[in-house]
Amino acid sequence: MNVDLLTQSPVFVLAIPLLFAFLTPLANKVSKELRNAVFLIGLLLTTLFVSLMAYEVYTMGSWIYVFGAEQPTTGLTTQSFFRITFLADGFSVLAALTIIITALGAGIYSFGHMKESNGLGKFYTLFLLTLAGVNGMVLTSDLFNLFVWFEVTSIASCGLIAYHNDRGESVEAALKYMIISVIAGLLLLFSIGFFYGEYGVLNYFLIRDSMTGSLIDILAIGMVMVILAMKASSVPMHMWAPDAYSEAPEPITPFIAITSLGSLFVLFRLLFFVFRGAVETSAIGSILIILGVLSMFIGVSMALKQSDLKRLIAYLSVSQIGYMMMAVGVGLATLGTGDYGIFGARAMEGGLFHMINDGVYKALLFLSAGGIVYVADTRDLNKLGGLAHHMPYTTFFFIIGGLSIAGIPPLSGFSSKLLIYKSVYLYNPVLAIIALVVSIVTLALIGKIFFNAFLGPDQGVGKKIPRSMILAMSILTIVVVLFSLFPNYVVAEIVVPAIEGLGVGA
Amino acid sequence: MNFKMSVVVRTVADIMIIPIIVFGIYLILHGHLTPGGGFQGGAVIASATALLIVAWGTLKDNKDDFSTMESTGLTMFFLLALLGIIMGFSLFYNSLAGTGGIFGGTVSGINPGYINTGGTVPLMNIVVGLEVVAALSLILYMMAKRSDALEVEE
Repeated sequence: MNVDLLTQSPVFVLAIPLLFAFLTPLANKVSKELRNAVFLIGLLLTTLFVSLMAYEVYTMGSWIYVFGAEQPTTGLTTQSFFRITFLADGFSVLAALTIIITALGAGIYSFGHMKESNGLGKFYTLFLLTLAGVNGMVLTSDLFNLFVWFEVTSIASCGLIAYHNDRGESVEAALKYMIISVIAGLLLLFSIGFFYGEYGVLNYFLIRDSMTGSLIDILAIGMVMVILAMKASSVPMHMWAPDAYSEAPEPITPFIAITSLGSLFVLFRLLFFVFRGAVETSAIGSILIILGVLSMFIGVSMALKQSDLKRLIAYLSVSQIGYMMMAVGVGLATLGTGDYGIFGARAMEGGLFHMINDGVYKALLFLSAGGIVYVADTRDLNKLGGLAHHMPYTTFFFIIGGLSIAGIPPLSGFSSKLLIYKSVYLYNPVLAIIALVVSIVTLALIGKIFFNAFLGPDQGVGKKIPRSMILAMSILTIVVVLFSLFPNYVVAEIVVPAIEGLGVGA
Repeated sequence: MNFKMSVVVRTVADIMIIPIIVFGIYLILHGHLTPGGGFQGGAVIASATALLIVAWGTLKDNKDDFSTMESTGLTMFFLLALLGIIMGFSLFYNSLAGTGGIFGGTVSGINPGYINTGGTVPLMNIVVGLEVVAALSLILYMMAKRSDALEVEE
């Protein structure tokens, strides 16, 4: 009867949101307060188990969790090679931390923001289901299981995007997202079929060991890359992202962004952990770099002409995805050469550090933009103005998030971007120059939002920001500030174990 | 608006749901022995709902009961999975197999059809059956209601 919570923690990271997702509609029948309490307990328990998993990984090292085995840590045997496994290592912890910080912010934020909406029982159910789906995607080490969580995430977040179904735009965005997700999901299943047909196994470890790099493998890897890059909203497959980000309810927008980031985590996990031995890493790395540069540049150029607040930030988010793809692409391209020790590993550090940074400050940015929309009831930058008179806290949070996304020195975005500039410059100076220019344009755009929305004469507003929204944004701000104050510590304690988890430690 | 079909259809539908539900329960309970299981049996039982909706035009508003049943089924499924951890094993571990009690019987060699075996598997089949009946009925109910509304508008 002794339950070792530390060893069991990875499965609880998945199980708690699922269980509470099913409890929420039941609690909703009793009272609103109970439903909110159940939802909050679910989020907090998930946070607790993510921290337990992090603690265990950082003190005891990584382990494989086997579902349905007598003991979860027995590992895979010849009799149980078909079992679903979860992998708890530094990389999973990095991904789970990014997800849970954002989810905590978005969840607490939605108490205040969604107070006047109806159908909230289903809203919180879908929220927790999406959380479970993304957690499952990043923790699993089984290809078919990956497909299952991919679909869970897609369906649940599609329901969340269409939440305001009285507005045509929301339904259109959700339809677009659904078509993209279904095509991506089916292609993923198709490529998993390739692997299964060829090797008869689905586990990451077993596929990695038996992979030969045949033509079928290359085709399947190509498909997997396209699908996950599409879900990560990388240019040229980014067309769904601005619609989905801007039409989703405000607390959900960072959450849709985190499903994109989750797909990117899965892409890196598969490329480094599973496919690395069978492919030409320099070629795959170059593809990632090209996708990254395109995302950075086209994302930020499209942002220039937007006058819709949330669409503008959505395009900025597309351009931030480019930084990570470029940096990790440089890491992959130099893998196995002497350059990896010189700057490839630094590029990996920068890229992965940027992922957790980006997850947090982008959530802060989206949530403070949501505060603007909540108070002023419009998203049009030309109509906004003078909001700093009414919302000093949100103004401050927006400045922190905005300066961080633009990479201004004391803030966390700067630390990760500096790592990226320095290492990418050694690979190819042009890449670093493009990255710098994109950062400058990002700063200009943040300035544009700031001047349009917050400064200027007081136009008068009707609503006040609820306290829970302030609380949610302050949690995220504290995390951003902590990352800004101790970047060395974060890189050494969180990012480096993640790189070791991918099996490419320097 | 009334979409009721003739008295013959309604009477036959009322009688037919009994064998349909019995067959569905048979599929659910024998899920661990024969082809079928919670999902298939649940879908069969939900087809009784479809039959009633077609024959009677609409059902009375029991959407809330269905959604309670759905959430209960899902929650219980997960609690059964967690039972593995509570008993000191891993998630989804079949901790009731061969321990005696309900569904805890043991067989040596090939199971010739003893239903009192399987541990948590038949229990999970039952709760999945509950969930699928509720969810599919809910979907059918919503679709019937929506087409109803469209007819009225015309």
